[in-house]
Amino acid sequence: MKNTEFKPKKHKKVRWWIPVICIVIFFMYIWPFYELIIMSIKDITDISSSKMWLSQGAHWENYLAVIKKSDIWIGFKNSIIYTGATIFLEITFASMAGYSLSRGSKKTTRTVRAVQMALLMVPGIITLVGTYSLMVNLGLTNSLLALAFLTAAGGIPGCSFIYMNFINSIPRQLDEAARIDGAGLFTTFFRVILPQLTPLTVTRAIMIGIGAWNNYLLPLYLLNDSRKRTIILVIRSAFSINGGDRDIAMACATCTIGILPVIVVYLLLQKKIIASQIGSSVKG
Amino acid sequence: MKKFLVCLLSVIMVFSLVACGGEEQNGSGSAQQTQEGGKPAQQGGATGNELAGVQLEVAVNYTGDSLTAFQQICSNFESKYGATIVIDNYGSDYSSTMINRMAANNLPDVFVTAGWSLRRYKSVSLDLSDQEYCKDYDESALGVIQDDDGKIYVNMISNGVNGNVVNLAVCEAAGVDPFAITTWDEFLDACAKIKAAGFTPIASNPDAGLTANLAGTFLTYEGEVADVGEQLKNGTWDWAEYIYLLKFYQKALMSEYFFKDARSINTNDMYERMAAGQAAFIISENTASIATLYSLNPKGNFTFAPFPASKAGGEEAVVSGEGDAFSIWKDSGNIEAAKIFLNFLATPEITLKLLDATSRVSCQKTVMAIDETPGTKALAAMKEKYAGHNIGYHNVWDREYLPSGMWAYMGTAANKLFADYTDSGLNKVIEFLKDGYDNVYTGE
Amino acid sequence: MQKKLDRKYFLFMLPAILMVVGLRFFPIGNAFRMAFFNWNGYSPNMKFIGFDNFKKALSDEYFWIALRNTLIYAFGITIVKNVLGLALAFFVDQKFHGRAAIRATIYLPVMISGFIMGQIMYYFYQYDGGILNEILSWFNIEPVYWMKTGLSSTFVVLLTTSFLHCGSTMLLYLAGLQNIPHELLESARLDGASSWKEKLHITIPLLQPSMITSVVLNLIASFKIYDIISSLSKGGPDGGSTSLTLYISQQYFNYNKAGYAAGIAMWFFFVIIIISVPINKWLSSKKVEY
Repeated sequence: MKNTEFKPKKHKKVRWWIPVICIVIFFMYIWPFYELIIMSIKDITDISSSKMWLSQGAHWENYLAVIKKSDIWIGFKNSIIYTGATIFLEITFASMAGYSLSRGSKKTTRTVRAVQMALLMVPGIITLVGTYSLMVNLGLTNSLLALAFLTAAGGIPGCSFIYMNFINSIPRQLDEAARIDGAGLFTTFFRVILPQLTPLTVTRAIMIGIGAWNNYLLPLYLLNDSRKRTIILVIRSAFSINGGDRDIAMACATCTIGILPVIVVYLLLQKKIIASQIGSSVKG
Repeated sequence: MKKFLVCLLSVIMVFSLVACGGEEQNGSGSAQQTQEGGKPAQQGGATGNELAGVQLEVAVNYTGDSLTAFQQICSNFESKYGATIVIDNYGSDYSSTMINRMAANNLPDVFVTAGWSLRRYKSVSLDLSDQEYCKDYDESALGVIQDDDGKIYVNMISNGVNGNVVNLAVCEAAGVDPFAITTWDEFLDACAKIKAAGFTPIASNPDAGLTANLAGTFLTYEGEVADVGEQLKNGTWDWAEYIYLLKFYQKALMSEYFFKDARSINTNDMYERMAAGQAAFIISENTASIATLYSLNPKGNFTFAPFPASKAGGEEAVVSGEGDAFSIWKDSGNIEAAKIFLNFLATPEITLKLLDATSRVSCQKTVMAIDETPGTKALAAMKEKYAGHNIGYHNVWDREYLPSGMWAYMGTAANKLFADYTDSGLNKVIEFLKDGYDNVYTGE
Repeated sequence: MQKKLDRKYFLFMLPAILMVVGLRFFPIGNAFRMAFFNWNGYSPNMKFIGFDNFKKALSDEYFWIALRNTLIYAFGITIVKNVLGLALAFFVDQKFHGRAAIRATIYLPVMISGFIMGQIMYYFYQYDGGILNEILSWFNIEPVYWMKTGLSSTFVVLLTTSFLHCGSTMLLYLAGLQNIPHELLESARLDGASSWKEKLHITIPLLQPSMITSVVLNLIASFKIYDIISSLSKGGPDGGSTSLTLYISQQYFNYNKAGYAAGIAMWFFFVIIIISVPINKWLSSKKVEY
């Protein structure tokens, strides 16, 4: 942040290439989204014209048609449940574990750290292969909560260490003061320690939430019931030929609406998200 | 840049407002629906309680619109007869779950056969041959569901019909008469003409349909180049004769009758190019795709066609599989109620409702006479246009002759074929299929 | 007192431990067990076949293609993302109006599901009617068949992923750049170092911690690549651009070869261990935490 205080006047050279590169970068990264919107409002019969712009009128009613279908709302509902549950489970258990790691004996911390580092490497597909048949037998496929547990378990190793690092910087005297006041471990943590970490919790929640919202591999195979599909799976089925829309424009409209919540959240919170990305990488 | 972002943001805000408004609308809409659904149920409970207290368990593999339509049909049934229907919706897990339940001898009262009424479910299904609807089946359906001894174990509401699709406008421009094609060799000759006229003859992309659905016209049907049906059925076939079919594709691929990028286009691309008049044929497509093509190009002229025969005098073929087809568990405690339910599904009114959602083809004569859904119309038109041809109506080839689980191998085989169609490539495909076949056969 | 407290801390950690053991360790163990059976994933009879699944993978040409691609993806994406990310970080680290907006724009695709981005990008690489080829046609350049072979598709996926996701790497380097004490750069400038020399000899070495973090994080993530392939190239043509994750899921769910899928998964696990253990050792010797 200190850097921004420097006045650009110091540089006398006219750096004409900066705006040029800016514009190029801007268009390159916005391009896919522009294409998505163009394709979503094309006429269904307009099949051989350029994909880059409209040659006929815009069919904004595609969006109306998508909104009127129940699929997309089912998808949003399920995604919200799944994402919410994942955030709750991961934050609660990871922060508790992080607290124990920070305050407990150093030896356990080192062992746990080694194990967790190794776990970070394990790809999700192994979790899927190892649990799928069990989930089918227990009737846990199509359960958003079971999926949330599975997803949260994947994130806990990394997340608990980030919490540990932050809790390390909170003085132990605070715990002791609380304990002297008669608070148990539970109260101490949730009433005294965790509130100190609200900014971290918020940024973690955002990152976990976006990860869960975008999760694809596990939901794809563990949620078969069309009433339990997350929004990503609804978009997938819109693009698929069997039981899909058979109409690229409608599929693209579904896709656009499907990614809107993420884009809105991102635009509203982008300062926080980016700062958290920068911050956590320095700290963690 | 800030302005750009502000613009983008405001556009998106507007969108999200619209979206939120939509949600409210939708919310109230669905509430109304349930109210509407609820009322007749109560009325029905008062009038018809023939099956009051009976609970039927029905396992289906429907998703999306089809599921919604089926649920509505079930609630109609509930209100009419006072029974309760529990729908098990297993989606894409359907076959593995059903196999599990079959192993545990704990099946639902009624279940969708998904193409396996004979090969897989015969031993656990009730013989339905004496039912009214069985007398009403079209010949295209009987070929699919009738056992060798004439018994029928399933109430088939509709079938999925598969053959070739022809773009008549392209054929006309190239001076080809598609209705004169009776063999695959004539098909290739037509392709040569179409290619010379500047079009791409075949729009298909590599898919299991290409390697499986038309295989019968080379290997198993009457008067074809090979006759290995018996060996296939008892699992002793060594796939050597499959080379006939591969040689056909080799010729087509070497002469560049497919799109240059055929191996990587998706099905939507295929439809778009066909509709746009770039190509003349799609090999192995179902009748519902005709509707798709017309929606992409309302001015086009498309028709459904049978698979040609592999040699002169051989049988041309249309293959169809069990579409919306239901069987009753033979040890079910509610056989009578289940029979009533299947009869209810077979009434023309209900059948048409289901077909509207699933876009399959009706296969009972009374329904076919009144069916206006595009799939049925396409099939009727084909029968008219190919009137003089020797067309056989068969069950989908892999369901008739291959063990379950081969479909995925057939898809990979198609991809392998398109990636390498030299002679050694063809041998690799055969090797791959033989391996898979042995694997699946011993696994079953 | 401390012992009692330790037990309490352990209880506090228990939910996390249970979840990690039950939903991370157990699956690995179960997959390992499955790898010794010939099993279709649902039938009650599992046949013990010893190491056959492991052996079979070694003679499976698609397994080697998937393994080769996974390595290409993991190292290729890591390299390209780091180069791009570093360049973008240098660019965005300069002072100009709208740099926050540019930063936010570059990071935007990272927020969107890889599956969806792949679905959109598919329309850029179509041979006929694709956007890139249309642009080439403006300059009278023959259309390029981007997805012609497995290898070309692999590189299309690699470059697309790197391009779309280099925002995260950029932020890592940006954080590193902002942590470099300004006096260091000032003194270099006073010594007359040119802008390029300054970056090469002073800034980049100072960025080493960020670089290590970035390389490790990207390697971990790229080994698991699945979403974007499943929509952009679908692993095609003829399995030429599959990753191991995609191949394993196909074996399990399309071919019903649960045992074999588990066998490949174990090979995958093994490869990851072989690669990550030395990296971890090296890192702990450098005392860098990530």
